[in-house]
Amino acid sequence: MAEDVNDAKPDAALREKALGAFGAHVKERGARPESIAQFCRDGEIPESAGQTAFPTLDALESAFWSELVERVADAIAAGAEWPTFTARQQLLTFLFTFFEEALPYRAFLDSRFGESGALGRPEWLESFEARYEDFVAGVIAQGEAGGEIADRGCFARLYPVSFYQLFRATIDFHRKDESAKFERTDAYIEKTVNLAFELLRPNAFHAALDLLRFILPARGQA
Amino acid sequence: MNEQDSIKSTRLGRTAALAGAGAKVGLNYLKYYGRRALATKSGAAALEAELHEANAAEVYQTFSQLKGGPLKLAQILSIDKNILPAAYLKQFAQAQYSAPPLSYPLVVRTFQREFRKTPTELFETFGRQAASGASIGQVHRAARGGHQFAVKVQYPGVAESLKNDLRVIKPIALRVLGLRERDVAEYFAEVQTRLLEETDYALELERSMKLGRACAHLAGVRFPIYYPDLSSARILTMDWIDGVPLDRFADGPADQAARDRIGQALWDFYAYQIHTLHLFHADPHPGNFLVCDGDLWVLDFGCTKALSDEVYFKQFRLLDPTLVDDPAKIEQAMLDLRLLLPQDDVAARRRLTEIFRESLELLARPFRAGSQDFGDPEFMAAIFRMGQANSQDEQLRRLRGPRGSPHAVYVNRAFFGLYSLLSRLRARVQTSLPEWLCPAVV
Repeated sequence: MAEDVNDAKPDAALREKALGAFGAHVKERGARPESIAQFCRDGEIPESAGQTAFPTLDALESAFWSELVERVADAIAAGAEWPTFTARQQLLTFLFTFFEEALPYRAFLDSRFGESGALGRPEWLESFEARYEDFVAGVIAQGEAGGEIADRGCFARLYPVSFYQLFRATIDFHRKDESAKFERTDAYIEKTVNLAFELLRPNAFHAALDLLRFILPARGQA
Repeated sequence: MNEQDSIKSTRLGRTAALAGAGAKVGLNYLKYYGRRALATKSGAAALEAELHEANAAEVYQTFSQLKGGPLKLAQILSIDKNILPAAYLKQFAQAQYSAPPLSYPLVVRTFQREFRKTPTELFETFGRQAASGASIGQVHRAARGGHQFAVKVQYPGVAESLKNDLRVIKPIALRVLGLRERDVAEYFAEVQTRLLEETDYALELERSMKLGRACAHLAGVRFPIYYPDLSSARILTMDWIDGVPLDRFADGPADQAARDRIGQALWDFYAYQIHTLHLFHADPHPGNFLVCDGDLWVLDFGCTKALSDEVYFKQFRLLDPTLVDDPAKIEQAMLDLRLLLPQDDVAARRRLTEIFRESLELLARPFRAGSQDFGDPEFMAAIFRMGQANSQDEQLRRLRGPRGSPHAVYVNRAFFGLYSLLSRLRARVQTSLPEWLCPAVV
């Protein structure tokens, strides 16, 4: 085990250094570097080691975005009040914190998510999506356990991707937000998460089912 | 519990919601006209009352969902009893306690944005649930070092959406109230200015401290201490006051002496602000006052109105006891206040002067008499009857042109609010004219 840790150390340190340098680059320039080689030179990272850790720019950017989600998820889960939060409060906390953490990179976020569009799923966002869905799985589990979210069998499989679409829509809203201190993004998060949880409440589903049961036989008779 | 609100988010959504209220009001009118065609004459009046009730419920429901501007406008309209039929008043009066709360994470987010700290980093305890709602914010209870605080947190983006709300609500309000746009343009501009000011908690902090200091010597009136280091443009922190809201006190078992004491404090507070400071608390709804240990506590200086000397003297010359019996003086006062316009013909002039004289006789009565028993139901009933009659007066409705000073909107609001509160308190108060209008002692 000790050997594994020692072996992992250089990679983790290099990875951290590369991600830090990438973050500093995009914060300053609002765009990603021209090439891995150029990036390694500018960031004083040995080129061969850098290219081994991140063979392509997409791989590097992918790690940057997923690490941002990871960092936010870890930070909020470490908060003293976190265990007492409902699923709705957990998701709200994640989104508010994410946009705060992402603020220094707003120009980059604007350009990259703008290029991909609200529905685009480029390669550099795959692990970002996966990491977010990991986080959301915990929120959904908590919501189902606490009765905030209805367990709707096979439909429940759509929950993570639906929450991801909500996240992407929020990013898209934030990109266009020109309000002071991005207050409208905060209001947007509050309202959309509210709506999502209202739709996922057990009662909403039962009411819809009740309506369907009422309408469908009547149609059959007509 | 669902602690989220359902404010319509986008401009389109808010517009659609308001248009929805307009459509429902229109539908209620259609139902009314259809049923009235079939009704007997005696049934028609009952149907009309029912129509107002139905419309008021629709409009109120929409306003309260949207929060911000429409809710504040509803509050203003609810207190300006001359403008709205009784049914609207009943619905709009609910606006005072009805705003649903922000989520706790959004409260935390607002703290982080304003102070770079969470509520629990700034306070030892902080209530996650709002202790009370307000039209553009909500109040949380917090504690630190054994001291209790009331922390008002503003909904994000309220200031941004306010102008749009008012732009959208204007045509609907005009239609519902049967007013002409250019005649009330200045009125709306004044309301918009005051509403935008209400979203600036930094300004509210400054005014609260200033008015609190200036009125500190008044007997029976008290103000919470405000905390600038725990306040910002979106968060306002003051002492927590464990009092009874004024309406609950008024409707409760308090004896006459206690009612008179609170009523007198309220009267003196307004008299001093208006006649001495020319700056006043213009939001006299019962939620902004608490009664604690026999004192009146004044909260929420979000809506204040300053009067220039020129505006003040023009407006309050109306309290001059000799005015009512002097046709030349009364005409000049009406021209100064633009209640009479140069283009008015003789008939309009005569009618307006007659109405004005009647209004003045009634509304200024407490000032002239030296004391007023607001427990006398006839006084408020006469004001309502006059308002209702004026709003239905065909000759008045046909008059064109913007009338009255826009500054009078909040003066009227303050006085109608004050009279309504005193009437609810059934208080007997000692009154006096401002010194400059008192007859010289020979």
